[in-house]
Amino acid sequence: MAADLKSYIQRLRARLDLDAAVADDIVREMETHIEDRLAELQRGGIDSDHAQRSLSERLGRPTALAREFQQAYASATWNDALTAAAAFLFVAALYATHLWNHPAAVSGVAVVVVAATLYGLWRRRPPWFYAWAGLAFTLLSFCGYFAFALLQRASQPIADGQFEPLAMLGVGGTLLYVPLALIIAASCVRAGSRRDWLDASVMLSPSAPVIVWLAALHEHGGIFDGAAEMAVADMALASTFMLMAAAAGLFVRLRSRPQKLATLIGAATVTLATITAVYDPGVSLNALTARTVLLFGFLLSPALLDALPLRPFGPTAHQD
Amino acid sequence: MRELAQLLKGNTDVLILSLLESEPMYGYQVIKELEQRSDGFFQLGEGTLYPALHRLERAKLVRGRWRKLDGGQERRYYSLTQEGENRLQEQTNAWARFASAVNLIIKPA
Repeated sequence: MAADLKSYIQRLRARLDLDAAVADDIVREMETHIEDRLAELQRGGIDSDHAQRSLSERLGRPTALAREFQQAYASATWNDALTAAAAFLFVAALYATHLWNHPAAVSGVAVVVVAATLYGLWRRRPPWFYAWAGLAFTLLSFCGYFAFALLQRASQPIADGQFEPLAMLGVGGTLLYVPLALIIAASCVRAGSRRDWLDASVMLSPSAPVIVWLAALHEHGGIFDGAAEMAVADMALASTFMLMAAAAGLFVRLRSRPQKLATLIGAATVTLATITAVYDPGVSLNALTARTVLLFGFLLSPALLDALPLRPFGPTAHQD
Repeated sequence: MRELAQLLKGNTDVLILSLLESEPMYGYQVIKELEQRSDGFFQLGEGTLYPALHRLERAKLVRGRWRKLDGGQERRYYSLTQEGENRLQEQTNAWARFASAVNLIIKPA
């Protein structure tokens, strides 16, 4: 194959953001098509150079062809939907069985979540990926909470003038963690919205109830001391995550973007209502409005990032 | 021409399924066969045909398999699945009803 067409195939391959095996198959198929077309043109008496030029023009831009293939694979199967829903069902089970403060159970779920996320990354982000990545994303909040608890514990002796090396190390580590976590979070959202900002919003969706839950947990005395009091709300939280599981499955299956957005907003609204009813039933209208604005601002922030002309974490644009 | 392109776009799936009903074919063969059978009227571009074949495969209406040609080269052949046959039957019936209704309007007896 001539250099121009080889370069065309390479550019097509680079733009196919699909499962590696599928992308390889598409490239191989296009190579065989090019062979057939070139042979046909040469049989018609066209010399090799002209045949290649004519074929390059006929094939169009690799970006456009790659986009057509992306769309062909955009619709998800029921398996994809179930795999996406399974992510939230795992967490729902953790709350329904009251095992969320059991270190072995939590570690087991965390390992499964991280493994599924890494597998999804390796498979070039299939439709179910963002639900699992969203749960992996909540680990940042958990680490943030532990860092905060550490900081709080260390702050009293420091305030009393006792500069213990271990406490100082904890404070230093915590202060370092906050900007690092923010950079990781921003990079994840940027990477998630590279294909579609709606995917990045799905990724952010479990963080909101988890942050509220962590705040409530802290208020009730922490992960071990507050377990008994917090257990009262376990079934409500399990129901919330089951609803999120159904929404994630539906989101993956739907093809229309407005319907996907409506599913995301609908699930977030019910989650907010449930969490408010459980933890703060006497909330004022102003506070509820502020929370609603905050929640939707947080969930839809990938759309704002996507609309920004400057993309500090984004890929460099390529010209065909 | 734009109207014809839109018409072709809307009917690509049924045209591909109809061709594959007679025998399994690979992409290039589908393009040539379509041109030949329609006296050059239908000319599918690569950017339309191959994504459509993959979409149909994902919907389990066709099945793609690599096969060796006599010369040793490999080609990805597509064949109709049972589901694809059923879909083709439905679309053929719908098309026949639609065409006959349109004819009643634009070519009244």
